[in-house]
Amino acid sequence: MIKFFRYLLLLLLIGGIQQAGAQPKMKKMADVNGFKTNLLSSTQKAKSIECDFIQKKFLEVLEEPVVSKGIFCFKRENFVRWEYLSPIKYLIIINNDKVLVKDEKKTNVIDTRTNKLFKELTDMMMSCFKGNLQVIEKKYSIQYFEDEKNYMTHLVPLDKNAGTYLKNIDMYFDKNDMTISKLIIVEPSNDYTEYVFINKKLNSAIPDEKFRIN
Amino acid sequence: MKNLGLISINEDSVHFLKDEQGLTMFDFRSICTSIFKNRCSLFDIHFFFRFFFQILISIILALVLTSCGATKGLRTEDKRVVQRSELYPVIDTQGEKKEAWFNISIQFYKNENSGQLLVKQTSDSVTRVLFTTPFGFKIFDFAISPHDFKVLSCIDPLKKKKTLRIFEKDFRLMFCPYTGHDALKIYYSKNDTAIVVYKLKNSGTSYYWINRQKKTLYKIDNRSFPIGGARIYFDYTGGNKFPKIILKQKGIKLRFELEPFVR
Repeated sequence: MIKFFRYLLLLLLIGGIQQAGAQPKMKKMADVNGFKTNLLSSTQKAKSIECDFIQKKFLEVLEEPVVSKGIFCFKRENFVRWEYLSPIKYLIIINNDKVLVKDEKKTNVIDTRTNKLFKELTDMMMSCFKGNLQVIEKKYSIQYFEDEKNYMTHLVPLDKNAGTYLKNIDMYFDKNDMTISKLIIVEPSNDYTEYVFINKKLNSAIPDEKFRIN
Repeated sequence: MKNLGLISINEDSVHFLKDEQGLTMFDFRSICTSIFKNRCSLFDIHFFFRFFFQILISIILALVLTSCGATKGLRTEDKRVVQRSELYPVIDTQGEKKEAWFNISIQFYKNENSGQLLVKQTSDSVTRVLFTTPFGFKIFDFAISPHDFKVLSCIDPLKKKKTLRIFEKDFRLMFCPYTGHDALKIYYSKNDTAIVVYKLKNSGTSYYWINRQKKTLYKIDNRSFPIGGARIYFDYTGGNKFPKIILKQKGIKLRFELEPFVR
């Protein structure tokens, strides 16, 4: 059971950063190296990202997706704030090695240094936001696609353990500013979660207070 | 020969000993062998039977006391076939109560975590219980019926026989009472005419406490072996069509707290 709780917290994070079937009308990316370079240089310019997000959970047991909404913030180097506003309030803050999980009643703080797997995942999340795909390439096999508006990376976990709870992750990057515009996380059962990031503000002054854990 | 505190032992003789914490232990098989082979002394046999009867009496006392406690203040009147609807199940087969969302908090000893629980009646006898993180990541998905339990998906740390048995028992108690074809023993409160209690064979023996005036199920007292029973409270005071549910597992420090919310 104790392992379960560790896992649960871990999955909270994974969820935060999943292929709902095929990539519609997307073709193989023509210049993968160009994309990587572009992504890295663009994200290095972005000191912070603040945006709204819409999360849709597609479950086989439900006819309609389960929709949640909230605000997402990222600030260099290692600050993430993931705040759910509806239908229920829920907050997750990543502040370097510490993770805070807070619901309407309780607050839980986790030190990622004591949990190797947890640290790997926070590192992966941060790599996504920083545009550093080299870290991700070690853990996932990556396929690259594009259409008129977006680049898309299709990630399949190399680790068998990860494969038991994660089928693949699709990350969509807006061609205009190279920021993440959509994220799809697919589970082995083919249930999946879609996150759409809208109203993005780059390099806005986000106070450090927003990432405070203690 | 070894000296282990209370009595010395060797291969043929006494096997009552004390461990490092001073707790008395014994090797039952070896002692029986010794007794039948007539190799142990009267002293050994005396200790063996004294210990054995102490445990036996404790078990009998515990059983008598706990079985009396469940129906204390109640009088039994009849036994008849009870319809499922008379138990006011939290999830129903039709209408608005077919599907419910709960904020779930699971406390296991000092660990605590939360997520969202979807409970849906997918057919007359099957209830789907699905637990996701707020991010939407699925932790487990069970299909529970009165006589069947299917694990449709479950993360690895939970895929353990004991853990799954606890989940099966607890969720069946909470959401899948029974199909409504059995003759149940019925108890009535001596003081309150609104209170009626049904005794079911559901995950052991369970007592379903109903308030007929409020038309609600407000408590389930479950006794089961070997997992240990559970006590579940249903609170409809929040004005929701679904109750707040608190489950306290007996024997281990496990507590579920479910708060309904509207999607």
